Amino acid sequence: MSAPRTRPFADLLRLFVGPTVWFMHLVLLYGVEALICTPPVGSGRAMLWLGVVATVAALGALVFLAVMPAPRAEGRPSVHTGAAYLHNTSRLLAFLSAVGVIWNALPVALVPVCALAAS
Amino acid sequence: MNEPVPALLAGHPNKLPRPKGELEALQAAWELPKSWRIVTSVNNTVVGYFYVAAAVLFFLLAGILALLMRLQLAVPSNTFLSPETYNQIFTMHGTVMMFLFAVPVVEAMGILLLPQMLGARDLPFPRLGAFAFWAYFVGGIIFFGTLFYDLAPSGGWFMYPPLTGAQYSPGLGADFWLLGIGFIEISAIAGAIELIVGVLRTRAPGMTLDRMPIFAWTMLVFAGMIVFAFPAVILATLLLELERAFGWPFFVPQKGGDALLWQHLFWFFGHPEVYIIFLPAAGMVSMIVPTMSRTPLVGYRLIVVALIATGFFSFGLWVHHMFATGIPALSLNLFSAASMAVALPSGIQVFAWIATIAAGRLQLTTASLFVLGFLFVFTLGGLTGVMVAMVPFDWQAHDTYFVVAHFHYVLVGGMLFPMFGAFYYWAPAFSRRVLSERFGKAAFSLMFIGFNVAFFPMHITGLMGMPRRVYTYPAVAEWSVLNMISTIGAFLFASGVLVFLFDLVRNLRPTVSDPIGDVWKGASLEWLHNHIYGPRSIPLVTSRDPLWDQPGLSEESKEGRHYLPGTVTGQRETIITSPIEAMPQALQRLPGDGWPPLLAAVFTAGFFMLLTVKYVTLAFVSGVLALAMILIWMWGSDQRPLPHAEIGHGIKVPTYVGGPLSHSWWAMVVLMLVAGSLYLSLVFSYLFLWTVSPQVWPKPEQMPPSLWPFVSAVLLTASSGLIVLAGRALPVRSRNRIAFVAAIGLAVLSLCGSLGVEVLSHWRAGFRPDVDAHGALVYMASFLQLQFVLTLVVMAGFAIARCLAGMLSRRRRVVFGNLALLWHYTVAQGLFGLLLVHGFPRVA
Repeated sequence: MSAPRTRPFADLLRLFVGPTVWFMHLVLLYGVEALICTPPVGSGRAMLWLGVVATVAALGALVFLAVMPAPRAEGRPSVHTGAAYLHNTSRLLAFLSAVGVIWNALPVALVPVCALAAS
Repeated sequence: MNEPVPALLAGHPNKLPRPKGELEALQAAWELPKSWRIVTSVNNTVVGYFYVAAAVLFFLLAGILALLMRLQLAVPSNTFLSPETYNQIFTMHGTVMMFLFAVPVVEAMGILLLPQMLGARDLPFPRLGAFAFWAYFVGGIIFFGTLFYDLAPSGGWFMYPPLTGAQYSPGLGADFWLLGIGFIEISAIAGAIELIVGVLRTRAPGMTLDRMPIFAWTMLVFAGMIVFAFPAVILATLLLELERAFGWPFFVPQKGGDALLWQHLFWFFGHPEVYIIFLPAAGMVSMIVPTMSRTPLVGYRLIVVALIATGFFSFGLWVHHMFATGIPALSLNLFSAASMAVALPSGIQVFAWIATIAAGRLQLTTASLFVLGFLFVFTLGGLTGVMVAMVPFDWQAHDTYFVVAHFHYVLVGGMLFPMFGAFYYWAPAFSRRVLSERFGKAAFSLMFIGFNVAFFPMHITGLMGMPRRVYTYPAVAEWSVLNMISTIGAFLFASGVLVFLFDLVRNLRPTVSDPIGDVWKGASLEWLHNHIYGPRSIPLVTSRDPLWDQPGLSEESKEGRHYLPGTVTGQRETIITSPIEAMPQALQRLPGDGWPPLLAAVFTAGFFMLLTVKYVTLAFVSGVLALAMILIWMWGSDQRPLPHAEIGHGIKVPTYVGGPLSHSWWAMVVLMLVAGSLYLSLVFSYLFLWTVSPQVWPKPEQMPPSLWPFVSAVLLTASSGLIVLAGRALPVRSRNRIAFVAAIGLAVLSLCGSLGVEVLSHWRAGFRPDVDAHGALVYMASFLQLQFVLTLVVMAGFAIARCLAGMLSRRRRVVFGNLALLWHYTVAQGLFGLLLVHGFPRVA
């Protein structure tokens, strides 16, 4: 019997996709606010729409990650392989990242753009 | 929980009896240098001992500084320490604790424990590990010594400009911090590369990722976080040092810089740093709790998820250290939310430990007590962490003793208590005698009570308004009492540490051959019969808790029934396995002991420190000597290919591999991630300063003509093409060397030419690095590129020399493979830099 098929890079990288989506979403929102607030100051509506688009896109990517099929070894789903374990772990991470994305999107809906915190 | 393994790995790999002389040959290959020459050893156990001892030494030194501070603050208007000395002491206390104790001791525990825990004979780059240790030790001692010459930095461990700029910190103190800490971080990165490749490529056959001990997972996440976090502060130190030395105004607002850039870069490193030191400690807890509770860890998969999530989330929190800097409300709330979100994965771990304790029956050993102390103290620190994650509360508590209390609860609770628990737990794996439970419990009691007496009142002093970093305070009645209580607590804590030291002197008897061993009946492989070479034979692992689920494994391994029971090539060896499934892929021949790593570290430290005190010529002599040592050490690498070797069970593996199968390829990929992370920090700096001062950015018509970046890009691309051609021209045996040498030579010329064209284009356009932030950043991009170009020139010369010596060929090509990887990365970075520096001002 040959060894289970492995794709070390792809499988390891997939592990980090979920948290990376969360991080990119956060940095994008932060960066966009910095750009909008650089004179001449832009519109708050643009920030809101961008926040909605970014959040929907991030959640879409995370759902896609969660429903991707498990890796297969020799044509069959491999239960007892590290790759299958990584696949399930990346699903859980996608779920946790989705919670983080929604949580981080709330301020965009609730707080006015470019406002000083003291005001 | 035994799980099926591929048939290839099933059963006992080897038959008994083992051939006569096999064990003796193994022992001979791993024999250590005698007496004082032990300092030349590169073996992980020896280097690990040195590393842990050095880290504990720095802990004690920084602890003494803390006691001096507490003496000063015991009573109001005290004159025990002068203001400047106090500033130096609190700066050094924080710096030494964070950079010379917390990160190194975790890395040290990784180097000491991981090979045995993974069933490897050693880590894959023993000389790199030794270099990392000696660089840290020599650099750290010199850095600490600055205190005795009134040369110590005094700008706080975070070194904020403008206080640390040339104007307000004119002496050498800040330079020692910038160059010294920058250098020590390079050593930490070297260690991280070693650990990542070690965890991914040297696990025992059968130890798939889901059977890997949690501590190894935490070390993997820890090292990965170092790869992405440390480059930010390395760039920050470079920028500030260039500003101090040559007036490049990165942090000077009048010239388009911004002091907040430092805070962004520093805290992009500084916040993950907290988790960098907490996660491995949490990993240690995850090893201690199941053993002491006699039951498998509850929620293994969730804990792994929590570890990775915490690692990532920690990178999204850096702005919460900057809540009081005037950032817009929306951004504050983004990071406030992220700061609260990190409580989720942290909570998963805490509940998993509590569930494990509840599922089993916890033995109240010293290690268990430290774990319980950790749970109590760290949870309190976490709760105050959620409090300061709220912006309004943070504004009230900012820069007060409340924050001092909070982060000591997090750091001492989250890292120091588990570390002491780990010392007691793992001492039997490396000592002929166990540490005393009686002394251990006394040490714990004193430390736990002392810590809470010292730091709990600080919450109140902070809420009463006492600011941090003040060398004294007026005689306000409540402040005086609380400060006196804190000082008494600090000395109580120190007495606990003294009891621990006494226990060490009395009972610790380090050994590399006959430790007392598995006194706790642990489940993981470090409790096998281990020697300097790890286990006699590398066990086949079929379970997450192998020593509990595979009865007789320890004896079988000792008898030589598992993999690689001797030495196939007569050298030191370990098995290289696949990163996920841990299938045997190759036999790696490991280097023996020698002077080059030690001397390279000493001369590298010399280079940095002599540069700090402006002995430029001597510094460069030291730098050249360091380079020579590294080249000598590298010359012995990439050994001649040998025939396939049988490691047991009829499995024959190659003794020479290249590309992704090679461990050095993985190390180079990690190094490229470090480099990419450093460059991204520069890109962030460029864009950040543009948002702050767009007026100093040139208009499109002021930019160099497009022909210049075009020529530079063509030269860059051509150099990459020439490297591809050089790879095809690699000689099969001893012929065709000229084509290879010519291609490499032309590639070097092309690469150097591209950088020259780039620098010249800016110079001719009238940009100067000391005039404004844009000019400084443009030349900084070229400076980073120059570092890689110089590295590649040396590597290219090295490859040519090996080719001419007949040591580089189409078959024996790892040296060239590494050169090509880094070359293509440098070209990609250069092209991206051209796009940013020449393209952005045209479209912005």
